[in-house]
Amino acid sequence: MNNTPENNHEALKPLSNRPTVAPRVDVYQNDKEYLLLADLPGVTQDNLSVEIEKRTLTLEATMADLPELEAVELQWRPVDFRRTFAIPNDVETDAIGAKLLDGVLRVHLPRTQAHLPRKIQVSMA
Amino acid sequence: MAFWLRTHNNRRAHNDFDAFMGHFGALLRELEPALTHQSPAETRRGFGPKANLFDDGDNYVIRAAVPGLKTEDIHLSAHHEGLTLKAESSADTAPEGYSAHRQERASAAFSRSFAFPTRIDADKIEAVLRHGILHITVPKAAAEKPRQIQVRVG
Repeated sequence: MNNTPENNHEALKPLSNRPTVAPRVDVYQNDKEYLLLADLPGVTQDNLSVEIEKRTLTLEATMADLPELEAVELQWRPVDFRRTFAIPNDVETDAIGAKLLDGVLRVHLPRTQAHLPRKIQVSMA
Repeated sequence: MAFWLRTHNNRRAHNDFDAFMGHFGALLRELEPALTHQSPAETRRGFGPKANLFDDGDNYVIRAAVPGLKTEDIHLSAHHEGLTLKAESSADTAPEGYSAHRQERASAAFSRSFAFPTRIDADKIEAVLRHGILHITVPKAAAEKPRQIQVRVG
């Protein structure tokens, strides 16, 4: 496709010149879960991967291309996103869930309840 | 804005005064959070979202990156010379019931204006929010569109 004579000029184009950047994230927590919010503007579900391997969470995504119109001013260019996180020890990795909405990825990492202080009943001997 | 700051620093000659100001600035930065209780996100307010501006001949096309905003948070107003985009804070200062461990995302309110090289038709502006990007189509005023002129043989 790219090597036909009419498309010879394609061979001179540089390879993907998109930078890969780390998306900005917020991390919140309460007793039940950690909540991770990542800004991924211009990213759709098909262009996003959320992977867990052992205790590492990896986000990878790619933004949609710019429209092919004459640019008057460009303040941002489409980039690829990538960021890894160490999953805290008290997370139940099987129950991790993620949702993409309005260009923000919300990842819920439920915590095992073992970290909560437990009262131990003392019985009289 | 950031580009202007970079070139400004390159032009300044290095001298003792600069070194002093550098130390003073570092001291201020350390004191500032204690004095003003502002998070890094809040101090970024004012510049607004990054936006790309395109021209397709009949319209100006804006693509502004606004992750996390919903349509009800966005206020777009227009007059014949330009467009103003305002948003409320995206309300993500620790959601109800959570404490913050890390905050990098901007949560500040902003107001940003766009001026166009030609006049526009403010009545026909359309805006669509998709995947955290705001797509605004701003038709040029009819008189401003490029027109083909027929050349006749005289």
